[in-house]
Amino acid sequence: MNGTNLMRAIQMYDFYLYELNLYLDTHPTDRKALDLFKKYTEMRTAAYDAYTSKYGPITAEQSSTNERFNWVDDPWPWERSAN
Amino acid sequence: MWAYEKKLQYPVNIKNNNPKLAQAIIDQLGGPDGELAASMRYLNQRYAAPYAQVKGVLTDIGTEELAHLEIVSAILYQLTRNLTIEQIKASGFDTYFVDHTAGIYPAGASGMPFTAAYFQSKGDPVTDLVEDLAADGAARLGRPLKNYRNSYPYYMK
Amino acid sequence: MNTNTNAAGNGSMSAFPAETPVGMCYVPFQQWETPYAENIALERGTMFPSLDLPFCGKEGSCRERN
Repeated sequence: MNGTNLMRAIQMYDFYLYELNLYLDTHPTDRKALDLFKKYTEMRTAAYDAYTSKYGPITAEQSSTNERFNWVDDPWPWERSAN
Repeated sequence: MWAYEKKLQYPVNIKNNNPKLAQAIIDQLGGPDGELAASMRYLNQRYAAPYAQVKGVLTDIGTEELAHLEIVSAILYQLTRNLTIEQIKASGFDTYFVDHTAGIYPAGASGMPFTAAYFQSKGDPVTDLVEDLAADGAARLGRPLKNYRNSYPYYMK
Repeated sequence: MNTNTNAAGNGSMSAFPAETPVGMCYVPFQQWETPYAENIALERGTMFPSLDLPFCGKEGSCRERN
C-alpha cells in the first residue's frame, strides 16, 4: 500500500476504535465491544507501524533520531498534499 | 494532558477554493454550535461528573471534538487558498478578509467571535446533560460534521 | 460504583430505568447492535446504524442513506 492508502486504513481503524472507546466508556463490560476493540487495536498497530516506518512520524517520538527531526517536515495535516 | 497526532481524523482534499462556502462553514469552527464550543462544553463539564463512566465519556468526546475542530479548520484553510481580489469582493468574503485576511479565526458565520457564552457548565450532571442534548440537536441543524460533504449541496442551494 | 453492569456482566442495561419520575428528561441507554464495517463507519460518521442520523436540509427526521 502507498502512503495515502495506509493513512486511509489508519483513519478507518482509528475512527472505529474511537467509536468503540466511547461505547465502552458507558458499557465497560460489554464483551462484543471489548473483543472488537482488541481486534482493531492490533490491525491499527500494524497499519501504523507500516506507515511510520516508510512515510514519516505521526507522533514526535517516532521522528528519526540520526540526521533530521523529520516530525517537523511538510506536509502538515491541513495541507492538501497530506490528504 | 493531551498528545498530538500528525493526521486528520477524516481526510480533507478540496481542489477548488470557495470563499463563500468558507463563510458558511466557519460557523462550525467558532459559531454557537461549532466544534470549539462542543469541545469546551464537554471538557469543562466533566469535573462535575459523578461516575467514572461519565468522566470517561465526557473526556473522550471533548477530545474528539478537537479532532473535528481540526477537520473544519483544514476545510476552511483549503477553501481560502489563492483567492483573487475579485473573488473576495464578489463572494462577500471581504468582510472577513478585512479583519483576518485568509487567517483561520474562530468566529461564527455572522462574524461574531467565539465566546464561552455559547455553552454552560452548571456543576450538576443532569443540568449539563440537558444542555448537551440541546447543543447536539442544534449542531445537527447547522450541519452534520460527520457528513460534511453531504452538507455542501445544502449550503450551495 | 459500576452503574451499568447487569448480572451477566455484559453491560446490557435496559434502555430506560424502571422508575422515570415526571419533570425530568431521559436518554435511552444505548444497546449493542451489529455495527457497520470500518470503511462504512468512517464514511457515515458512526459505527452504529441507529446513530446514523444525517440532517438533509429539511424539517423532520430524514434518514437518508447513500
